[in-house]
Amino acid sequence: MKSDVKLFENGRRLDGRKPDELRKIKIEVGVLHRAEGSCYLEWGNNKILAAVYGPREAIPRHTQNPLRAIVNARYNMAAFSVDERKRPGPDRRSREISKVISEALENVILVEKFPRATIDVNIEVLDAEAGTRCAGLTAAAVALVDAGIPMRDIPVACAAGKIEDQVVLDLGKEEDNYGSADLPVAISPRTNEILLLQMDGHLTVEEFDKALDLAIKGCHIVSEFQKKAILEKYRHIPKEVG
Amino acid sequence: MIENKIVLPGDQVSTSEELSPGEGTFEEDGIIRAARLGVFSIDKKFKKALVKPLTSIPVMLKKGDIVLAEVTSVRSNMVIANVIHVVGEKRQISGDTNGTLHVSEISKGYVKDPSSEYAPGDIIRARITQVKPSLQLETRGRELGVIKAMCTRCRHPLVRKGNILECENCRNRERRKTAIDYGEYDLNKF
Repeated sequence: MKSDVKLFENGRRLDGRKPDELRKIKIEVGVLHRAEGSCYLEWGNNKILAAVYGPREAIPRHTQNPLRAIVNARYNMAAFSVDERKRPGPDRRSREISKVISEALENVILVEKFPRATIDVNIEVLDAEAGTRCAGLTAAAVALVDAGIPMRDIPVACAAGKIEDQVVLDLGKEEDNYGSADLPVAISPRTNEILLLQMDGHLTVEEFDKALDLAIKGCHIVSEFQKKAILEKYRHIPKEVG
Repeated sequence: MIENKIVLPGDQVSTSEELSPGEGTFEEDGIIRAARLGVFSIDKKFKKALVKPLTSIPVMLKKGDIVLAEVTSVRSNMVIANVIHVVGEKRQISGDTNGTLHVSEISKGYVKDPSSEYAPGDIIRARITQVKPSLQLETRGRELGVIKAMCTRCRHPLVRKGNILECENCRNRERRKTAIDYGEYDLNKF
Protein backbone atom coordinates (compact mmCIF):
# COMPACT_ATOMS: atom_id res chain seq x y z
CA MET A 1 0.00 0.00 0.00
CA LYS A 2 1.43 3.36 -1.01
CA SER A 3 0.72 6.43 0.99
CA ASP A 4 1.67 10.05 1.16
CA VAL A 5 2.97 9.59 4.69
CA LYS A 6 6.72 9.81 4.89
CA LEU A 7 7.84 6.94 7.10
CA PHE A 8 11.48 7.91 7.16
CA GLU A 9 13.12 11.30 7.56
CA ASN A 10 16.84 11.99 8.15
CA GLY A 11 17.43 8.53 9.56
CA ARG A 12 14.54 8.81 12.00
CA ARG A 13 11.19 7.08 11.88
CA LEU A 14 7.75 8.63 12.27
CA ASP A 15 7.82 8.41 16.05
CA GLY A 16 11.45 9.55 16.23
CA ARG A 17 12.97 6.10 16.66
CA LYS A 18 16.17 4.92 14.99
CA PRO A 19 15.83 1.95 12.58
CA ASP A 20 16.98 -0.51 15.23
CA GLU A 21 15.17 0.98 18.19
CA LEU A 22 12.31 -0.67 20.08
CA ARG A 23 9.22 1.02 21.42
CA LYS A 24 8.93 1.55 25.18
CA ILE A 25 8.23 -1.63 27.11
CA LYS A 26 6.71 -1.93 30.56
CA ILE A 27 6.03 -5.31 32.19
CA GLU A 28 4.17 -5.99 35.43
CA VAL A 29 3.95 -9.46 36.94
CA GLY A 30 1.13 -11.01 38.98
CA VAL A 31 -1.60 -8.45 38.45
CA LEU A 32 -4.62 -10.76 38.51
CA HIS A 33 -5.87 -12.26 41.73
CA ARG A 34 -7.75 -15.33 40.58
CA ALA A 35 -5.33 -16.43 37.88
CA GLU A 36 -2.48 -18.77 38.73
CA GLY A 37 -0.08 -16.52 36.88
CA SER A 38 -0.58 -13.21 35.15
CA CYS A 39 1.18 -10.33 33.46
CA TYR A 40 0.35 -6.87 32.22
CA LEU A 41 2.47 -5.57 29.40
CA GLU A 42 2.72 -2.27 27.62
CA TRP A 43 4.72 -2.20 24.41
CA GLY A 44 4.46 1.21 22.83
CA ASN A 45 0.71 1.71 22.76
CA ASN A 46 -0.06 -2.01 22.92
CA LYS A 47 -1.68 -2.88 26.22
CA ILE A 48 -1.92 -6.58 26.92
CA LEU A 49 -3.13 -8.69 29.80
CA ALA A 50 -2.11 -12.35 29.99
CA ALA A 51 -3.45 -14.91 32.45
CA VAL A 52 -2.48 -18.53 33.00
CA TYR A 53 -4.79 -21.19 34.43
CA GLY A 54 -3.84 -24.77 35.11
CA PRO A 55 -2.40 -27.27 34.49
CA ARG A 56 -5.85 -28.75 34.94
CA GLU A 57 -7.82 -31.65 33.56
CA ALA A 58 -8.49 -31.11 29.86
CA ILE A 59 -12.15 -30.92 28.95
CA PRO A 60 -13.61 -32.26 26.65
CA ARG A 61 -11.86 -35.51 27.37
CA HIS A 62 -10.99 -36.41 23.80
CA THR A 63 -8.62 -33.46 23.65
CA GLN A 64 -6.48 -35.00 26.40
CA ASN A 65 -3.13 -36.45 25.49
CA PRO A 66 -2.13 -39.34 27.78
CA LEU A 67 1.54 -38.50 27.36
CA ARG A 68 1.66 -34.76 27.74
CA ALA A 69 -0.21 -31.57 28.51
CA ILE A 70 -1.84 -29.49 25.83
CA VAL A 71 -1.20 -25.78 25.76
CA ASN A 72 -4.29 -23.81 24.93
CA ALA A 73 -3.53 -20.16 24.24
CA ARG A 74 -6.43 -17.87 23.50
CA TYR A 75 -5.63 -14.56 21.84
CA ASN A 76 -8.50 -12.14 21.99
CA MET A 77 -8.83 -8.52 20.99
CA ALA A 78 -11.14 -6.33 22.99
CA ALA A 79 -13.81 -4.55 20.93
CA PHE A 80 -12.33 -1.20 21.97
CA SER A 81 -8.70 -2.14 21.27
CA VAL A 82 -8.67 -0.72 17.73
CA ASP A 83 -9.87 2.55 16.18
CA GLU A 84 -12.89 1.07 14.47
CA ARG A 85 -14.89 -1.13 16.85
CA LYS A 86 -13.88 -4.76 16.38
CA ARG A 87 -16.69 -7.27 16.33
CA PRO A 88 -16.12 -9.22 19.51
CA GLY A 89 -15.29 -12.90 19.53
CA PRO A 90 -12.80 -15.13 17.76
CA ASP A 91 -12.23 -14.54 14.06
CA ARG A 92 -9.89 -15.97 11.46
CA ARG A 93 -7.02 -13.75 12.50
CA SER A 94 -7.24 -14.32 16.24
CA ARG A 95 -7.69 -18.07 15.81
CA GLU A 96 -4.53 -18.19 13.75
CA ILE A 97 -2.60 -16.17 16.31
CA SER A 98 -3.92 -18.39 19.12
CA LYS A 99 -2.70 -21.43 17.25
CA VAL A 100 0.81 -20.16 16.52
CA ILE A 101 1.26 -18.88 20.07
CA SER A 102 0.06 -22.21 21.53
CA GLU A 103 2.56 -24.06 19.41
CA ALA A 104 5.39 -21.69 20.30
CA LEU A 105 4.70 -22.08 24.03
CA GLU A 106 4.32 -25.86 23.76
CA ASN A 107 7.93 -26.05 22.69
CA VAL A 108 9.33 -24.49 25.84
CA ILE A 109 6.93 -25.80 28.51
CA LEU A 110 7.84 -29.19 29.97
CA VAL A 111 4.54 -30.67 28.81
CA GLU A 112 5.52 -34.27 29.62
CA LYS A 113 5.16 -33.47 33.31
CA PHE A 114 1.40 -33.06 33.12
CA PRO A 115 -0.22 -35.86 31.16
CA ARG A 116 -3.92 -35.40 30.31
CA ALA A 117 -3.83 -31.80 31.47
CA THR A 118 -4.38 -28.52 29.73
CA ILE A 119 -2.56 -25.27 30.39
CA ASP A 120 -4.79 -22.36 29.48
CA VAL A 121 -3.19 -19.08 28.52
CA ASN A 122 -5.53 -16.18 27.93
CA ILE A 123 -4.11 -13.20 26.10
CA GLU A 124 -6.34 -10.18 26.11
CA VAL A 125 -5.43 -7.24 23.88
CA LEU A 126 -6.80 -4.12 25.51
CA ASP A 127 -5.16 -1.63 23.20
CA ALA A 128 -3.58 -2.46 19.87
CA GLU A 129 -0.86 -0.73 17.92
CA ALA A 130 0.89 -3.25 15.63
CA GLY A 131 2.87 -6.20 16.88
CA THR A 132 0.24 -7.55 19.26
CA ARG A 133 1.10 -11.17 18.64
CA CYS A 134 4.70 -10.55 19.70
CA ALA A 135 3.59 -8.55 22.70
CA GLY A 136 1.00 -11.21 23.55
CA LEU A 137 3.50 -14.03 23.46
CA THR A 138 6.00 -12.04 25.51
CA ALA A 139 3.33 -11.36 28.14
CA ALA A 140 2.16 -14.98 28.12
CA ALA A 141 5.71 -16.17 28.79
CA VAL A 142 6.00 -13.95 31.85
CA ALA A 143 2.60 -15.12 33.11
CA LEU A 144 3.72 -18.75 32.74
CA VAL A 145 6.79 -18.10 34.89
CA ASP A 146 4.53 -16.41 37.44
CA ALA A 147 2.32 -19.52 37.47
CA GLY A 148 5.33 -21.70 38.31
CA ILE A 149 4.91 -23.86 35.23
CA PRO A 150 8.13 -25.73 34.43
CA MET A 151 9.78 -24.40 31.28
CA ARG A 152 13.02 -24.85 29.40
CA ASP A 153 13.39 -21.14 28.83
CA ILE A 154 11.42 -17.92 28.87
CA PRO A 155 10.28 -17.41 25.28
CA VAL A 156 10.22 -13.95 23.80
CA ALA A 157 8.99 -12.38 20.58
CA CYS A 158 9.77 -9.32 18.53
CA ALA A 159 9.09 -8.19 14.99
CA ALA A 160 11.18 -6.65 12.25
CA GLY A 161 9.98 -5.28 8.95
CA LYS A 162 10.66 -3.22 5.90
CA ILE A 163 9.57 0.32 5.34
CA GLU A 164 10.64 2.31 2.28
CA ASP A 165 13.36 -0.24 1.40
CA GLN A 166 14.89 -0.07 4.82
CA VAL A 167 14.86 -2.97 7.28
CA VAL A 168 13.71 -1.76 10.69
CA LEU A 169 12.98 -3.22 14.10
CA ASP A 170 9.57 -3.36 15.79
CA LEU A 171 7.08 -1.77 13.41
CA GLY A 172 4.73 0.90 14.69
CA LYS A 173 1.14 1.35 13.58
CA GLU A 174 1.68 3.43 10.45
CA GLU A 175 4.76 1.44 9.54
CA ASP A 176 2.75 -1.75 9.74
CA ASN A 177 -0.08 -0.32 7.66
CA TYR A 178 2.00 1.37 4.96
CA GLY A 179 5.30 -0.50 5.14
CA SER A 180 6.12 -3.31 2.75
CA ALA A 181 6.87 -6.25 5.06
CA ASP A 182 6.40 -7.45 8.62
CA LEU A 183 8.31 -10.36 10.16
CA PRO A 184 7.27 -11.42 13.66
CA VAL A 185 9.73 -13.82 15.29
CA ALA A 186 9.59 -15.68 18.60
CA ILE A 187 12.68 -17.33 19.99
CA SER A 188 13.97 -19.19 22.97
CA PRO A 189 16.66 -16.66 23.91
CA ARG A 190 19.02 -19.16 25.53
CA THR A 191 19.43 -21.27 22.40
CA ASN A 192 18.21 -18.86 19.72
CA GLU A 193 15.80 -21.56 18.64
CA ILE A 194 12.97 -20.13 16.54
CA LEU A 195 9.52 -20.85 17.99
CA LEU A 196 7.42 -18.71 15.69
CA LEU A 197 8.15 -17.13 12.35
CA GLN A 198 5.62 -15.46 10.14
CA MET A 199 5.94 -13.03 7.29
CA ASP A 200 3.60 -10.57 5.71
CA GLY A 201 4.67 -8.75 2.54
CA HIS A 202 7.75 -9.23 0.42
CA LEU A 203 11.42 -9.41 1.33
CA THR A 204 14.39 -10.46 -0.76
CA VAL A 205 16.61 -13.20 0.67
CA GLU A 206 19.17 -10.63 1.81
CA GLU A 207 16.52 -8.46 3.40
CA PHE A 208 14.97 -11.48 5.09
CA ASP A 209 18.30 -12.50 6.64
CA LYS A 210 18.88 -8.96 7.79
CA ALA A 211 15.38 -8.65 9.23
CA LEU A 212 15.62 -11.99 11.02
CA ASP A 213 18.93 -11.05 12.62
CA LEU A 214 17.49 -7.71 13.67
CA ALA A 215 14.36 -9.31 15.13
CA ILE A 216 16.43 -11.82 17.11
CA LYS A 217 18.54 -8.97 18.43
CA GLY A 218 15.31 -7.23 19.46
CA CYS A 219 14.11 -10.41 21.17
CA HIS A 220 17.20 -10.46 23.37
CA ILE A 221 16.56 -6.88 24.46
CA VAL A 222 12.92 -7.70 25.30
CA SER A 223 14.07 -10.83 27.13
CA GLU A 224 16.06 -8.65 29.51
CA PHE A 225 12.91 -6.62 30.26
CA GLN A 226 11.03 -9.84 31.04
CA LYS A 227 13.70 -11.09 33.43
CA LYS A 228 13.96 -7.74 35.14
CA ALA A 229 10.20 -7.59 35.68
CA ILE A 230 10.05 -11.12 37.10
CA LEU A 231 12.96 -10.56 39.48
CA GLU A 232 11.53 -7.19 40.49
CA LYS A 233 8.39 -8.91 41.75
CA TYR A 234 10.01 -11.88 43.48
CA ARG A 235 13.34 -10.62 44.76
CA HIS A 236 11.83 -9.23 47.94
CA ILE A 237 9.95 -12.27 49.22
CA PRO A 238 12.49 -15.07 49.18
CA LYS A 239 12.87 -15.80 52.88
CA GLU A 240 9.61 -17.64 53.48
CA VAL A 241 10.58 -20.59 51.29
CA GLY A 242 13.95 -21.31 52.93
CA MET B 1 26.73 -22.40 40.84
CA ILE B 2 26.22 -20.69 44.16
CA GLU B 3 23.58 -22.01 46.52
CA ASN B 4 20.67 -19.76 47.54
CA LYS B 5 20.89 -17.81 44.33
CA ILE B 6 17.69 -16.84 42.52
CA VAL B 7 17.44 -18.64 39.19
CA LEU B 8 15.09 -18.21 36.24
CA PRO B 9 13.78 -20.96 33.97
CA GLY B 10 16.59 -22.08 31.66
CA ASP B 11 19.45 -20.96 33.89
CA GLN B 12 22.19 -23.50 34.32
CA VAL B 13 22.45 -24.74 37.90
CA SER B 14 24.77 -27.72 37.64
CA THR B 15 26.00 -30.55 35.45
CA SER B 16 25.03 -34.21 35.27
CA GLU B 17 28.47 -35.26 36.50
CA GLU B 18 28.05 -33.26 39.65
CA LEU B 19 24.43 -33.72 40.72
CA SER B 20 21.26 -35.41 39.59
CA PRO B 21 18.25 -33.34 38.54
CA GLY B 22 15.70 -32.92 41.34
CA GLU B 23 12.50 -30.98 41.75
CA GLY B 24 12.23 -27.83 39.67
CA THR B 25 15.07 -28.77 37.35
CA PHE B 26 15.56 -30.59 34.07
CA GLU B 27 18.49 -32.09 32.26
CA GLU B 28 19.55 -31.17 28.75
CA ASP B 29 22.78 -32.23 27.03
CA GLY B 30 24.47 -33.09 30.31
CA ILE B 31 23.57 -29.80 31.92
CA ILE B 32 21.07 -29.35 34.72
CA ARG B 33 18.92 -26.26 34.34
CA ALA B 34 16.22 -24.61 36.41
CA ALA B 35 12.67 -25.23 35.19
CA ARG B 36 11.03 -22.59 37.36
CA LEU B 37 11.71 -19.35 39.15
CA GLY B 38 13.19 -20.12 42.53
CA VAL B 39 16.17 -20.41 44.81
CA PHE B 40 18.81 -22.96 43.91
CA SER B 41 19.75 -25.46 46.60
CA ILE B 42 21.46 -28.83 46.87
CA ASP B 43 20.08 -31.93 48.53
CA LYS B 44 23.40 -33.11 49.97
CA LYS B 45 22.11 -36.51 51.06
CA PHE B 46 20.93 -37.54 47.61
CA LYS B 47 23.24 -35.26 45.61
CA LYS B 48 20.30 -33.60 43.93
CA ALA B 49 19.94 -30.14 42.45
CA LEU B 50 16.72 -28.46 43.58
CA VAL B 51 14.99 -25.21 42.80
CA LYS B 52 12.79 -24.10 45.67
CA PRO B 53 9.94 -22.18 44.08
CA LEU B 54 9.35 -18.49 44.69
CA THR B 55 6.05 -18.53 42.83
CA SER B 56 3.06 -20.73 43.56
CA ILE B 57 3.47 -24.04 41.75
CA PRO B 58 1.01 -26.52 40.24
CA VAL B 59 -0.58 -28.84 42.82
CA MET B 60 0.19 -32.49 42.15
CA LEU B 61 -1.46 -35.19 44.26
CA LYS B 62 0.93 -37.16 46.45
CA LYS B 63 0.60 -40.26 48.59
CA GLY B 64 -0.45 -39.20 52.07
CA ASP B 65 -2.18 -35.96 51.06
CA ILE B 66 -5.42 -35.15 52.85
CA VAL B 67 -7.96 -34.18 50.22
CA LEU B 68 -11.59 -33.22 49.86
CA ALA B 69 -13.56 -35.21 47.32
CA GLU B 70 -17.08 -35.48 46.04
CA VAL B 71 -18.61 -38.95 45.82
CA THR B 72 -19.77 -39.49 42.26
CA SER B 73 -20.93 -43.07 42.38
CA VAL B 74 -21.26 -45.94 44.83
CA ARG B 75 -20.67 -49.46 43.56
CA SER B 76 -20.99 -52.81 45.31
CA ASN B 77 -17.36 -52.97 46.37
CA MET B 78 -16.05 -49.46 45.96
CA VAL B 79 -16.86 -45.78 45.91
CA ILE B 80 -15.76 -43.42 43.15
CA ALA B 81 -14.97 -39.89 44.21
CA ASN B 82 -13.72 -36.85 42.38
CA VAL B 83 -10.93 -35.06 44.25
CA ILE B 84 -11.69 -31.36 44.33
CA HIS B 85 -9.22 -29.87 46.75
CA VAL B 86 -6.00 -30.59 48.58
CA VAL B 87 -6.20 -29.37 52.18
CA GLY B 88 -3.75 -26.54 52.70
CA GLU B 89 -3.33 -25.65 49.02
CA LYS B 90 -4.79 -22.66 47.22
CA ARG B 91 -4.44 -23.82 43.66
CA GLN B 92 -6.53 -26.26 41.71
CA ILE B 93 -5.27 -29.77 41.17
CA SER B 94 -3.17 -30.67 38.13
CA GLY B 95 -3.68 -34.13 36.72
CA ASP B 96 -6.08 -36.98 37.27
CA THR B 97 -8.68 -36.36 39.98
CA ASN B 98 -10.84 -39.45 39.67
CA GLY B 99 -10.18 -41.55 42.76
CA THR B 100 -11.52 -44.87 43.98
CA LEU B 101 -12.17 -45.86 47.55
CA HIS B 102 -12.33 -49.61 48.13
CA VAL B 103 -14.81 -51.03 50.71
CA SER B 104 -11.99 -52.29 52.86
CA GLU B 105 -10.54 -48.78 53.05
CA ILE B 106 -13.73 -47.05 54.20
CA SER B 107 -13.41 -47.53 57.94
CA LYS B 108 -11.55 -49.55 60.53
CA GLY B 109 -14.41 -51.97 61.08
CA TYR B 110 -16.00 -54.31 58.57
CA VAL B 111 -18.16 -52.69 55.92
CA LYS B 112 -20.40 -55.00 53.95
CA ASP B 113 -21.79 -52.54 51.47
CA PRO B 114 -20.38 -49.09 50.63
CA SER B 115 -23.89 -47.74 50.10
CA SER B 116 -24.46 -48.01 53.85
CA GLU B 117 -21.66 -45.47 54.41
CA TYR B 118 -21.62 -43.09 51.44
CA ALA B 119 -24.05 -41.74 48.88
CA PRO B 120 -23.45 -39.81 45.66
CA GLY B 121 -23.02 -36.09 46.30
CA ASP B 122 -21.37 -36.47 49.70
CA ILE B 123 -18.31 -34.33 50.34
CA ILE B 124 -15.69 -36.48 52.02
CA ARG B 125 -12.27 -35.91 53.50
CA ALA B 126 -9.89 -38.70 52.50
CA ARG B 127 -6.23 -39.63 52.44
CA ILE B 128 -4.43 -40.60 49.24
CA THR B 129 -2.86 -44.05 49.39
CA GLN B 130 -1.72 -44.35 45.78
CA VAL B 131 -1.40 -42.04 42.80
CA LYS B 132 -0.02 -44.30 40.09
CA PRO B 133 -1.27 -46.28 38.20
CA SER B 134 -4.62 -45.13 39.60
CA LEU B 135 -5.72 -42.76 42.30
CA GLN B 136 -6.72 -44.62 45.49
CA LEU B 137 -8.23 -43.14 48.62
CA GLU B 138 -8.92 -44.24 52.18
CA THR B 139 -11.17 -42.88 54.93
CA ARG B 140 -9.98 -44.86 57.94
CA GLY B 141 -9.62 -42.65 60.96
CA ARG B 142 -11.73 -40.27 62.99
CA GLU B 143 -10.87 -37.15 61.04
CA LEU B 144 -11.71 -38.78 57.69
CA GLY B 145 -15.14 -39.41 56.22
CA VAL B 146 -18.17 -37.37 55.24
CA ILE B 147 -17.99 -33.68 56.12
CA LYS B 148 -21.16 -32.66 54.32
CA ALA B 149 -24.06 -34.75 53.06
CA MET B 150 -27.47 -34.13 51.58
CA CYS B 151 -30.67 -36.05 52.19
CA THR B 152 -31.12 -38.67 49.47
CA ARG B 153 -34.87 -38.05 49.44
CA CYS B 154 -35.12 -34.26 49.33
CA ARG B 155 -31.51 -32.98 48.94
CA HIS B 156 -31.68 -30.82 52.07
CA PRO B 157 -28.58 -30.82 54.27
CA LEU B 158 -28.34 -33.58 56.85
CA VAL B 159 -27.63 -32.70 60.46
CA ARG B 160 -25.81 -34.95 62.89
CA LYS B 161 -27.95 -36.41 65.68
CA GLY B 162 -25.70 -38.69 67.74
CA ASN B 163 -24.51 -41.47 65.49
CA ILE B 164 -27.01 -40.84 62.77
CA LEU B 165 -27.69 -38.04 60.29
CA GLU B 166 -31.13 -36.54 60.08
CA CYS B 167 -32.80 -34.37 57.48
CA GLU B 168 -34.43 -31.34 59.04
CA ASN B 169 -36.86 -31.07 56.18
CA CYS B 170 -38.33 -34.56 55.84
CA ARG B 171 -37.05 -36.22 59.05
CA ASN B 172 -35.36 -38.85 56.95
CA ARG B 173 -32.60 -40.62 58.92
CA GLU B 174 -29.47 -41.81 57.19
CA ARG B 175 -26.23 -43.50 58.16
CA ARG B 176 -22.81 -42.27 57.07
CA LYS B 177 -19.17 -42.76 57.91
CA THR B 178 -18.79 -39.23 59.24
CA ALA B 179 -15.65 -37.33 60.02
CA ILE B 180 -15.34 -36.05 63.57
CA ASP B 181 -16.07 -32.47 62.49
CA TYR B 182 -19.11 -33.26 60.35
CA GLY B 183 -20.99 -30.11 59.36
CA GLU B 184 -18.49 -27.77 60.98
CA TYR B 185 -16.04 -27.51 58.13
CA ASP B 186 -16.52 -24.32 56.11
CA LEU B 187 -16.69 -25.30 52.47
CA ASN B 188 -17.01 -21.70 51.33
CA LYS B 189 -13.37 -21.03 52.15
CA PHE B 190 -12.36 -21.87 48.63
